[in-house]
Amino acid sequence: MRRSARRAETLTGIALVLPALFWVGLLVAYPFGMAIYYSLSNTVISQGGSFVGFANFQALLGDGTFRQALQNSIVFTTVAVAVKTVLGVALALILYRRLRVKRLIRGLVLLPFVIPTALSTLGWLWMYDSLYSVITWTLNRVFLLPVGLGPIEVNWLGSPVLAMTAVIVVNIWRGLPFFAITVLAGLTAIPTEFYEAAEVDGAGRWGRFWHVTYPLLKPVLAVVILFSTIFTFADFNIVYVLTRGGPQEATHLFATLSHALAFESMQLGRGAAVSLFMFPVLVVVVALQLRYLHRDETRYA
Amino acid sequence: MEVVRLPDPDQFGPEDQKVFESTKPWFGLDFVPEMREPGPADAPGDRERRDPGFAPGDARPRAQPGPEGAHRRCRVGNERLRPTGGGHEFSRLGWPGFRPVARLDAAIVGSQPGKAFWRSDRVPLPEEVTMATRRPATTPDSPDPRPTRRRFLTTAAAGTAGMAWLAERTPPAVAQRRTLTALALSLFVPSGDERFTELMQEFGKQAGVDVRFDTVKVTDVPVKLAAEATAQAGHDIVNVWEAFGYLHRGNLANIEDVIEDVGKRYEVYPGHRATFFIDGHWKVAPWYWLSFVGTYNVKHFKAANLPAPKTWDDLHKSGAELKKRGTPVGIPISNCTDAILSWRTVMWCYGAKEVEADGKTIAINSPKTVEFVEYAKRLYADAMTSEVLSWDDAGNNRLILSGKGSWVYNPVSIYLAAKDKDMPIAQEIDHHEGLSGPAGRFAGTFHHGLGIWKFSKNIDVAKDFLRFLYKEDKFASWLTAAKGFCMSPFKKFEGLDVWKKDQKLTLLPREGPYTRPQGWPGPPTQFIGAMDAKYLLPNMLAKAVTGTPVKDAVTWMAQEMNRIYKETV
Amino acid sequence: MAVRRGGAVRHFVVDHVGLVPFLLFILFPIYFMLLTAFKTDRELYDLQAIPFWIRDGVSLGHFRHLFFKTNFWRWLANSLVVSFATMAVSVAISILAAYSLARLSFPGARTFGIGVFITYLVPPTLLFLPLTQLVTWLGLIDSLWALVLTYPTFLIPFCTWFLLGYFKVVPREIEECALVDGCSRLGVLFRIVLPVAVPGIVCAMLFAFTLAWNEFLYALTFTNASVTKTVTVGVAAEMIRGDVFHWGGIMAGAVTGALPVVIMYVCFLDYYVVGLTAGSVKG
Repeated sequence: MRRSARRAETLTGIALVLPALFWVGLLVAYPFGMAIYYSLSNTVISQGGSFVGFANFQALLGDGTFRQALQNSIVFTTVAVAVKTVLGVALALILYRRLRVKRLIRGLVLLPFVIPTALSTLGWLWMYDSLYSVITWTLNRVFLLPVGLGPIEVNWLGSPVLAMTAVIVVNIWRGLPFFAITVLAGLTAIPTEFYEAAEVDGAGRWGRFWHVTYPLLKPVLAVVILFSTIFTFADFNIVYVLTRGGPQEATHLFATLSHALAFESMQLGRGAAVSLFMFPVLVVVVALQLRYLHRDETRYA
Repeated sequence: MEVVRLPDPDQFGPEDQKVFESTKPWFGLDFVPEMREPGPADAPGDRERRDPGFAPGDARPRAQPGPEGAHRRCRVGNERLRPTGGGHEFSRLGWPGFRPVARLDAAIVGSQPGKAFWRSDRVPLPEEVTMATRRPATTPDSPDPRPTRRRFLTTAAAGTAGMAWLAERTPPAVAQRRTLTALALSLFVPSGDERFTELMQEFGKQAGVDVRFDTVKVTDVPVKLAAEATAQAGHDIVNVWEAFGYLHRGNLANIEDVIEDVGKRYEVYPGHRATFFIDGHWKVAPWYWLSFVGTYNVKHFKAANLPAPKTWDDLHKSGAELKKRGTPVGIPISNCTDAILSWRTVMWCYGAKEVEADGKTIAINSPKTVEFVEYAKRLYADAMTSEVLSWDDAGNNRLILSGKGSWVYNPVSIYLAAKDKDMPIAQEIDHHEGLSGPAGRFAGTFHHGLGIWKFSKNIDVAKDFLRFLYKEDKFASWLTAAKGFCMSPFKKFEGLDVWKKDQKLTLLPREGPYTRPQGWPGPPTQFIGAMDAKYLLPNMLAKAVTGTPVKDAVTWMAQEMNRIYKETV
Repeated sequence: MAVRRGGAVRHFVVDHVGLVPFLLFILFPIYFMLLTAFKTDRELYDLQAIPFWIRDGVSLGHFRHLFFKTNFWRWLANSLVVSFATMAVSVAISILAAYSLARLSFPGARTFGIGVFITYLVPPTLLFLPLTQLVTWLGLIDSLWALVLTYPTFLIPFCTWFLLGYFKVVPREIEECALVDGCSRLGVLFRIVLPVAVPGIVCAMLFAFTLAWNEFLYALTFTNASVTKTVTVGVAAEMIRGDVFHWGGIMAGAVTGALPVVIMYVCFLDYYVVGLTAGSVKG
């Protein structure tokens, strides 16, 4: 009886999972296989290629541009996610207080996430324009000129450090709502009894945050950080639209480098290899975070 | 695991029947109740075991609070699904409309008439009920199969038919009208695109085919070309330029028959032949080229009492003067195609070259290159501001349009945009002929052409369209519609009105003989494309102008070229 | 609600003052985009103009060009259709898969779960060339069906993963109750779990809709004709001509193209927040 019960459950389970398996499997497995094949070949678009084994990967490891892209990706992801976390939690805490027009503010806060990325990034491109930038204008008119310092011209997207900063700022702008609203949702799930208990125990504001809010927020934060890391690491649109790889490759990420190699240099093999490089790094990062999650889950279950 | 015996159907009365019927199951899953008047069913002892609060003979089972409030725990869920018939309490026996289904083998064996389907000897466990084993019940009174089975079969049949349809979607070619499709970049001048569409439609009417003209933004065209080449399907005619023709030469059809004929009537400029005549065949039909000319602000030059420059050295002198007055010149030294184009022209004018005529031998490391880079360094330091290091392709447009800049090297889009938008600066903008250097005069440009994919099903129709397009009046009309922005690849059209009309544009066609393909003196190969994708030339210049010694910068470029060469060729 | 007068004002200020820099940061670019959409070109390119407000008068020219001279409404309709369709399909399939992974155990469940997640990590820039081959072979190139076919490849993993965490949170007791009472597994899913999980599902639907709406690369590759394009591709193609960016038109397209999504979020915001709560607490 138990056996057939399990068999029935197996059948149901598999049956329910089949549509997803079919759809994703068929449409992702073949392209993924092809991508792996490309990365192991020296295919040039429209000219075919032959199998070369790991030559692409070896060449990439020795390529200065690739190493730069790797460094850029790490810096970009780390800084962006860290800032988003801190700002997101701060914003969530503020939103958690009893505010008027809460719904309206929450809706407004969600806007950057909701506007199509390709188009909102173009808006930022206009804001960063070397000649017409509104940021430079504000800097000059509001801060510098009144104190007598001459008007400066800032090349936001033209110097390596500034370009990286600019790109990170746009990523933060776009990702902050997601963080804030999710952490806010996590905050609302914390029962108020804990806070009351902490107050009774004499904890101040900071104590309450550190001993009540933070531990109970950790699972939520872990999930959001996981999500955000994946999104940010694989980000393509922002860099592509703003700097196309940046002044002398200063802002090339994996995705943009792969695109440039595959469609501007037409070296499909190289481009695929770059993309595939991204993959194990992501898997490792994600595995680490998932392990942390599971550990936490058993603790809080 | 304790065995739970399911209740008998004779516990449900007609009221329950009504309730079951009235709750419409979600998603069309039809759970079928089967009702009978309650009769002397089981021994009271059985029922007691199952439900302590249930008295035998009761037609309507009532929800009773069991021990430990067991029932209350089950009272969960959506209000909507509660029974709607008068005051009926929520049945302990589950949601209205439920129907447990027998096990798989019972289903296969089949129900026996006269017996409730699910009344087998062995009562199925809840875990054993599965979706796969669902079958509608039958009774002696209703021998017909339920609609559910028929519905399921018809849906399955429709689904299979749909899949078959999906798999064989291409209809027979015979019965269908052919469609000629073309892909090009969104031209800066929208009227040019419109005119091209009209020409295609005219041709379509003549030849009895449907036509379609698609445009995308310039950076997306290579992506689409790559996708179509990989998929071996897509448009028929595609807009390729410079290195893309060479790159895709394996997938482009030979079109000598069209071009030789055209070449006899009009003279094709040498630059176009060098770009599009690949491996002994004409692979791409010349379409237009963009005239990069010196665009300058007349007011600023007059204020500084300077004439329009004639050589690059003139430009340096004038530029230094103009920068002192706060109106610098600008040539981008950044990752954009304008940068590559402009500086390559300067490079040719100084006699330097990246590769030899065979397209493979690297020739960048030469004293002429050093001379060229020194010039660039001088020009940047004395006549430009640091913003050129971050320009995109539209950076020089903005410099002039804002009134701040005095000279840039660009196609006439700046002037035309200003005229179009009715900006006062349009009066101040003028153009002058290409500058020359110690090694002669050259004009940088992108040669644009139309290629026909080899795998297109309409090669003949496409060739006919090209012949149609090259008719003198048609081609002239297209050039006119492009407002003079697109230059003619043929000498014949040099004197068209569209350039004569606006005196600021008259000089443009005269640049024709001086254009050369990217990578000249070699062909625009994939090597050049790869170099350009990494913006090698602007990057080398950026290094040089921001402090790296010139010789080091040049050596760096030679090394990079070597590396790229090994990878690409 | 007993509130001291002076304290009320102070509380109000303290509560809201921290919000100001965030709102500035978040909303200024949007305000700027709106402004650009309504400015005349002359003022846009005028270095002397103040970028914070409109000096030469509000101009509807960009909107007029966008609405009447391009296929904008068609693009909007295409985007809506594709986003709704893919959202429906993906969420439906994800519900089944997520429930199965959350509650049922069968051999390969764990592998499948990880596999689903890994699929999400594969970047679309890598996949889209072979996918083009596949789509062309199916004869779906240059039609919205290609998008409906390919969008679920990244929507399903995402929604499954999200709903998985959500279903895990739904208390097991209710399901067990219904099972005991004779409900089939599927019935439990549809009649018990789904009503309770509505916020999570709405949240997943909103996410899926947004992701589908914002998608650019597949929409660019698989659609050719102007009438088949979606909003993001169409606006970019029409408003970026040669090397010239028509900023006014781009911004007009951006704000109008974002409206449907914004409206959807406004309608379902409460579900969204509640949905995120339960799902994310347990991950």
